[in-house]
Amino acid sequence: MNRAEPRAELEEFERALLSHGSNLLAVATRLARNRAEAEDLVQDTVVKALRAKDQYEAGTNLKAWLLKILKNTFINRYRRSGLERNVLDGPDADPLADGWIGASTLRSMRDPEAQALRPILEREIGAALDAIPEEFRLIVLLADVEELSYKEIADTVGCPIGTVMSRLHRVRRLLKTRLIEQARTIGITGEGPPRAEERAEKPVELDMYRAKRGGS
Amino acid sequence: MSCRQVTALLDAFLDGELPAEGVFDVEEHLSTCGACAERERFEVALRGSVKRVTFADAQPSAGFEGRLAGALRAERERILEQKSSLSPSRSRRSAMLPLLLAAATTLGFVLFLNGHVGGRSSMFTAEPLEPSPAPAAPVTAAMMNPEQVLDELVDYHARPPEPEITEQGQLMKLQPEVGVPMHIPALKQFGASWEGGSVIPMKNQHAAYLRYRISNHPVTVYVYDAQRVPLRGVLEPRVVHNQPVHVGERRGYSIAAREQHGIGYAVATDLNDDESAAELVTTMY
Repeated sequence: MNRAEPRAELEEFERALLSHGSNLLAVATRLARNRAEAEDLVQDTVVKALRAKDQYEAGTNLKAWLLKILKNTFINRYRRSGLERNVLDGPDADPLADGWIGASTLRSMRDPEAQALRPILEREIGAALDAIPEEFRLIVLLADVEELSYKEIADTVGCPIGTVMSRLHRVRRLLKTRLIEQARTIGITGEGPPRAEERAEKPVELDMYRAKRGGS
Repeated sequence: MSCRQVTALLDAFLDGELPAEGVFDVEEHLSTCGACAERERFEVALRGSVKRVTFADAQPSAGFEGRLAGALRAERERILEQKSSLSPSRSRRSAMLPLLLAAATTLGFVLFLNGHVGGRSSMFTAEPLEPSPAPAAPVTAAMMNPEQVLDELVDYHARPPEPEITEQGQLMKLQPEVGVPMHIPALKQFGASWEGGSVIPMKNQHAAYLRYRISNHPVTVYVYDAQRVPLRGVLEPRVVHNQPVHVGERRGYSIAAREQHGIGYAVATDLNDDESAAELVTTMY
């Protein structure tokens, strides 16, 4: 057997792994909430990935595969049975808490003045992300940072697509609520509770729509 | 499509998960509804913010990329090392098989020896061997014949038969029965005195039995057809004076065997030092 062949293959795979380094670090940092731990997590992830190279199915999403390893490494590292998730699960008690935000509020947040304050709002998003249970945090990171598909997220996290969708919706709603609260605190918007007719436009679940359309 | 329906589908729409017909419906609505379009812009901004803030908060420490590449490089070398040691080891293992068998045979022999000699230190091992009858037993059984030969050989050394010849010069007389050329061993250099010789049965063959004495210690030299007498199978290979010999010990006698041109030479002594037997067997011809 040509000795150079496995070496070249491994080196090529290493380059592919390293190309996802910053993405992995972004998720790991948000997940571990600590830079040193996040860096360890990323290092463990890529080393494990290299070791398990033969298990990677060529042509599939390498990033999704790496994120799955990262997630499992994170869980194993803290000897958890799984990620925290109970807080945001369960039915909504208060429709107002659904975070329905009026269009005028949203519009006001696009004002030039609000744009200048964007770093403050984004810090609020960061803090809100850090505060939510890990499994929800991971799902939103996989969706918004890594731009994985619902199916890829479901595979990575190990839950049904419907769960991914509902969790994603809850996290975004929570983020929006936190954002609006912060916007009000710093005086970007003074809007009160949403009008009754807007509240009536409370989002429904996508699977209901899909079921109606006969999709999956 | 109503605002309510569009809002419900907005996540899936923005996440690129909406079926094509749904995308068309939502886009149509967004193009005509300011409130929903505003909501869409906000959602897009929110996603962008999540991404931006996450990357912004994940500033690696100095040298992180280098450490990451280094860890991968080290792992790669480990993997390659494992791979290269794995594939040849397969062939090495098969090449090792006879040696392992020989070692197992030796082990069986030593166990046998310990059982009989009881407590006597073995030349094979400084420490008493842990009994491991499972692998040793079948091998010992398979190799029982050479061991019996060794036993017989030691028996003749311990209880010497009446010599058939008493003159060293008559050695040639033993040749027809032994089936190999007979030469007088050069043992005078060790101060050996000749006592006599015989033909002894060795397995189904015959061996020449030559008795000497060195410093009052009996020394027996056996000469036999090496092809037919598998003596070395139960002895441990050694190199003495750049010559391969097989050495062993039984019932307190040290035995060394050597083959040359198909002729087997073995020496049994009670010098209690395998090297003395080995020394003799490598230098006497």
